[in-house]
This record gives sequence, structure tokens and C-alpha cells, in this order.
Amino acid sequence: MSPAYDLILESNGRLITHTVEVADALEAWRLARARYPARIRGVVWRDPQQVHLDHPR
Amino acid sequence: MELRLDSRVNQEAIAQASELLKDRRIVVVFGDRLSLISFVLVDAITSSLVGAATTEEEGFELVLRTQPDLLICSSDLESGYGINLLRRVKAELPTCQLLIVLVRETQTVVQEAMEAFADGVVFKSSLGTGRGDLISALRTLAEGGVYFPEQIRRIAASTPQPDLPPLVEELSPRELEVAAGVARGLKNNAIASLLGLSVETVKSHVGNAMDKLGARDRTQMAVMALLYGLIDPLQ
Repeated sequence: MSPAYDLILESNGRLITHTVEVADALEAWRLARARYPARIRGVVWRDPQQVHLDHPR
Repeated sequence: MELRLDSRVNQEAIAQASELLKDRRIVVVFGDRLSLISFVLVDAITSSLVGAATTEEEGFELVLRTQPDLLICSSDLESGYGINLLRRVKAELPTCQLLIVLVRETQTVVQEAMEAFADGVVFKSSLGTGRGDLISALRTLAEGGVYFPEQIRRIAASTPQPDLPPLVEELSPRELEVAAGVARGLKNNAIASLLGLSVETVKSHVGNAMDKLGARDRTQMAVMALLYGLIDPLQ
């Protein structure tokens, strides 16, 4: 399975995320720039090992 | 402006352009005939030039006929519109990189160029200022990247700045570097390699940055760092 990346997008004055499964970060940026050229603000690799906390630490 | 062709800045720019363009196939489409002729007569351009025109239709036909890997065009053309030309070229020849010189410096035009899949954008007013926008754009495109100078990114990509409480504790310079790497999509090992750190140290910086930003995962940490204006992954 391809790794998952979160695209951080600007939408109506706020930031939202959209998860995609692509080969690597370059591919994620390429896809983001093709689909959301004016809205993309960042790309984050989703670490499968990361513990997601219910509350901020 | 006094144009000094023998100045060090100009000589360096010409040498760098020659190097960056030496194996390329370029079509140039400028609406202003004098600008077009002046531009294509620069050695660095001439040696890689496969066609030049002043209108959208001529430019499009040239691209189809000559199959360039780089189109440099201005937004204003003798007839037609440079940004329309970008859209048409991207649809027909997606491998061709697109560099546009914008005459008007408005948010609308910049957004329009970005949405037309421009690989590089420079303002006409920045040419000849010595800031090196054109060379930077050519270099970024040669590396397969997308170039929007800082001035343009500020106009087009303003990140929302909601009312946020002040941070209890500032992020350290290293934590900021790691956060920027996270928001560029890098895995921990790539960030470690980039910054000359161990993967464990990177994980520790990620954890600290998450704590300080009140984030529960890497994505939220990147979002918060963007909202606080601490990082700019598009840089």
C-alpha cells in the first residue's frame, strides 16, 4: 500500500487537510500542484508509527 | 536605469542562463516586439530557441510544431492572452514547462497563472533589477520545481491568520527546521539526513514542536506552525 500524505489546503480563509495515497512526497506535491495550484500550503507524511493523542500533550 | 552589459551582475546572469538553458528547447512568446527581439537575441536564449512569436495563436501553433520543453511567455500578447496560452499548452503538451512574465501585479492575475499550471511566475517589473528572479526561476525549473518569488507567494498564498493565543513557549530554531521539513512532506529519516541529525533526535524535535503547538499529530503540528506563520513550506 502506498504511504499516505495529508495535503494542507487553504479553503475559504481556513486550512483544511485532504489525505492522498501516493508513492512519495514529490508525487504528493505534484498532485497537489496539479489539482490545487493556488490552495496548497503544505504536505505532511502520515507516520503510521505515530501515536495519535486524544488530547494535546 | 543605465544598462551596463559589462557589469559583473549582468555577466554572471548571462553565464548562469547559458548553463541552465544549454540543453533546452525554448519557445518565447512576448506581446511586445522590441522585448521579444531583445530577449531572443541574448546568446543564452538564441542557442536554445526553437521558435518565437507575439500572439497566442502563433505561439500555440509553434509549440505544437516544435515540441519545446520550455515556454516563456508574457501575459500580454499582441493578440490573445498569455495565461490562455499556458492552459492550452499544458493540455496539449503537459511535459512542457511554463514560465510566465506577468505585466500586471495583482492577486487575480497571479492566481490565474497558478491555476493555469504555470511552473514559474515572474513580474515584468522585477526584470533588470538585479534581484535575479529570472535566473532563480530558470534554475528552479531546471531542477523540476515550481518558482513563485516571495513577493508573488505573499500575494497569492496568504495563509489565514485567525486569532491565536500567544505561544507559551517559542519553538527552537532546530524545531522550526524540523517542522518545516514535516510540512514539506519529508519522513523523519529524510529530515534527519537533511539536517545532519539522527532519526531519534528528529522524532524528539517533532514531539517537542507538537507539545509547544498543542498538536496531536504531525499534520496538526504543521497546520498550527503555518497558522502561526512560523514556517513556509513553499519556500
